[in-house]
Amino acid sequence: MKTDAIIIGSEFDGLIAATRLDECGYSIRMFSNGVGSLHYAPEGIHVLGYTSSCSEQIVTAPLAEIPHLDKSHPYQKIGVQQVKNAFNWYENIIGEIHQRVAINGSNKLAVSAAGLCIPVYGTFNHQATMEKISGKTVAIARLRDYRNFPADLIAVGLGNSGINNSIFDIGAPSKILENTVIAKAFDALDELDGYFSAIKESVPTQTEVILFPAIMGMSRNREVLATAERVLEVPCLEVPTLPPSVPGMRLEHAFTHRLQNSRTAFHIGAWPSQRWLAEGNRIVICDDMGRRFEVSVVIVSSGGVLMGGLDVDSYGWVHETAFGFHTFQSEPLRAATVEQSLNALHTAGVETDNALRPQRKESGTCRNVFVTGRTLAHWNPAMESSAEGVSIATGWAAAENARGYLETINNG
Amino acid sequence: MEQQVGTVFELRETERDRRTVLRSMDQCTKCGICHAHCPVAAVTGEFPGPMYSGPQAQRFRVIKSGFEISPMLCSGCGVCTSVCPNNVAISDIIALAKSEIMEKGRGVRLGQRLLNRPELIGRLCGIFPRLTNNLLGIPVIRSIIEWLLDIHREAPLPKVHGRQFKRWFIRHTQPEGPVVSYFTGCAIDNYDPDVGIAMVRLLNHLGYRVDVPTDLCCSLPMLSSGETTPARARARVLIDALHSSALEGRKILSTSTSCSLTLRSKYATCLDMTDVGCRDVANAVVDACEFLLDRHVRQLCESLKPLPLRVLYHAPCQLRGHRMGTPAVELLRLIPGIELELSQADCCGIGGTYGYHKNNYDIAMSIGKMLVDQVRRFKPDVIVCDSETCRWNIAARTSIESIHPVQLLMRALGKKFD
Repeated sequence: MKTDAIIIGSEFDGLIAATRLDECGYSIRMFSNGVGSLHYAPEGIHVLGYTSSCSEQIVTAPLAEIPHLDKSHPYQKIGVQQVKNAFNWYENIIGEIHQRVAINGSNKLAVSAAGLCIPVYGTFNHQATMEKISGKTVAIARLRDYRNFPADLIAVGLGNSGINNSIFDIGAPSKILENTVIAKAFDALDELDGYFSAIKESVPTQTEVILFPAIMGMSRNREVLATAERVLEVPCLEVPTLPPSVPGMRLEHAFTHRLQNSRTAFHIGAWPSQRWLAEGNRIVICDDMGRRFEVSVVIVSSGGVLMGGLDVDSYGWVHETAFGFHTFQSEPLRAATVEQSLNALHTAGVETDNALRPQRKESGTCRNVFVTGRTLAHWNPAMESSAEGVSIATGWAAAENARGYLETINNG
Repeated sequence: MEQQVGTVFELRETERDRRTVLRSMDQCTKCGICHAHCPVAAVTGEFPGPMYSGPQAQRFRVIKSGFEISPMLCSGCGVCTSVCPNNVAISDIIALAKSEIMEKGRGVRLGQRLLNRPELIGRLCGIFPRLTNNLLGIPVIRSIIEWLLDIHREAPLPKVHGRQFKRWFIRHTQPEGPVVSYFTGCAIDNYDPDVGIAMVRLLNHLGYRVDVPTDLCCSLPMLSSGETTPARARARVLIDALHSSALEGRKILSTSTSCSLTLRSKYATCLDMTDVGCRDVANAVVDACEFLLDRHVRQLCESLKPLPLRVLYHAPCQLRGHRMGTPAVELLRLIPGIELELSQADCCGIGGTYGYHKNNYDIAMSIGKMLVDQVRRFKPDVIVCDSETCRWNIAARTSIESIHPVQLLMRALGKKFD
């Protein structure tokens, strides 16, 4: 079968790149090694929450802050205009396949699983933000014995932000209290009206907004919350839970579902064990079961250390696992302080040129391999709070660059 | 001149054996992703989930193995291994724990022992197939079977056909051409002759001469329920029977994703059989759809006729273990006019012989609900699935014809069955 591109890893950036290439009519195979880090992404789309020099200083307009970042930062490599284009594209596609995301050029303060205010660029329709709840009397819905939603902690956090709140108990639709199980149980609930009518009595009087844990349905999420709002007659919002994140899974599912239905082949568990350049700059990849694939473009979006795209050797140095690309790392992971070590871990990754093409150890830059997301060096998703933004921007930019390359070779 | 793109930094185990499977438990970071995706843990509180039952409990098993019930509730679907970002062989760890419990503990029950010998049941019942099928349709008899053998009265037992495929194949005249071997396994020979006939005819159509070296069972049911000693003996006989095909450089095709996965990797991981013979056979075995996709796309495209059907494709669990994507989907998409929907369920619930057991039947039914609901919504004309036990289960629960991808390809080629 003809394949134009192989994407290694099904991280968020890989899904973005695949969706973009698929949209342009290219055929893609995705090799993935376990699920992606969207399972840990609870609070919407982080673009740039804090300045990279100081994790205390909140950024309000992330796009305006990009020119102040280090020149080697992925956003800087791509350029502000391209980053903007990427977000515009994302806004359209996500509205089409999942739900409209509120993006208006500035960060909003979203409520985190610990009740803190976190700067987030794109929030989901029913996501709790300070904007939506400030000055209102809030009721937090608590599920008894459910560990992943610390209602008391959230109550304290909101109280510190000056929001009147109280907690009330609701029953779970399933016996097993795990995020995904409860979410799927809401999907399967025949009597949604009945469920919410039953909890109506326990909602404290004068409640103006109800905060539910972000487990209100997996695929029928919008319907569940719309029913809740209709029956309970107040706005119902979701606050993220501890991972695995149901909103992250909804997002991941929206992309995989679209790709699967448009001929993208997912090779789950497959990983490149051998790769070489063949005639005409074609790339040959053999998976670890010995299957051979020949493609024009490879995009590496296998994630960072946590998701297996990078690994640390016993000397404290980070390596790229799929191709063994040249990596950048400021210092080994046994630096003097924990902060230094963590920073070295987060900013380590594959070194690329401005088109996201990695260096080959022997002979210059690759022409048709692109690296995205956490596999890239020179950015710190934890400190900057920029994980999903960089994923969207680099995934989109890699796809655009790949498209440029494919067009040149196809035109002779 | 071929050139390396990058230097090789080997981290992944390319060939797993028992030792590497068990050692992978140390890679578990307790992220809980496997638990979030486990179809069994989603429907029953009795199963503590793959993370606890697999890598976490394994630490204690290393010290002292004793009686524990939790691994027995695992259906072996392998979703956990496929979603793990850290390469922990979760389902293999649980499978090994299962067989250890069986060997050391209470032993394998009579009903399971019978289910583990599908070709024996097939032969016995195949003497009077119609009588057997009629008897198995009587509720009282099924209740007695449940009481005696722990096989649930509602479990989707397949119809017995006698040795119909074998009889057909002996009489069947084939064209001259390159030879491929076809490993039928016990299901084709005793319960599902139509798939075998479709496969042979399709290969003939593509110019191959088909050789069927053996009709032995791959021993997967034994191996997944802990009867390791007889499983090993049987695997040895099977490997000997298939080795000559492998040595002649022939591909050994299989229409069952579970049989082919057993030959490809389970002998090494669960039975520690890693000798040359096993390796040769493992490398020669190839899934039928993968083979067709690899070599005959153009030929198929030229001869496939439009087939205006609503088709639901369900990927069986064992397909995940092959790590080859979904070749059947790519093949089905070659058929013009087909309206294809992909199953959103990770598992149909039956898990080989898992759902037949009276203790697991309810769990299996709950797991399968998602697929059944999707079938009700989509209302397909036909359901396509690569694995036989899944097909029997799906057909029994939805009353919609469930067939193997090669059968649908044969229909699109406009070929009739005998």
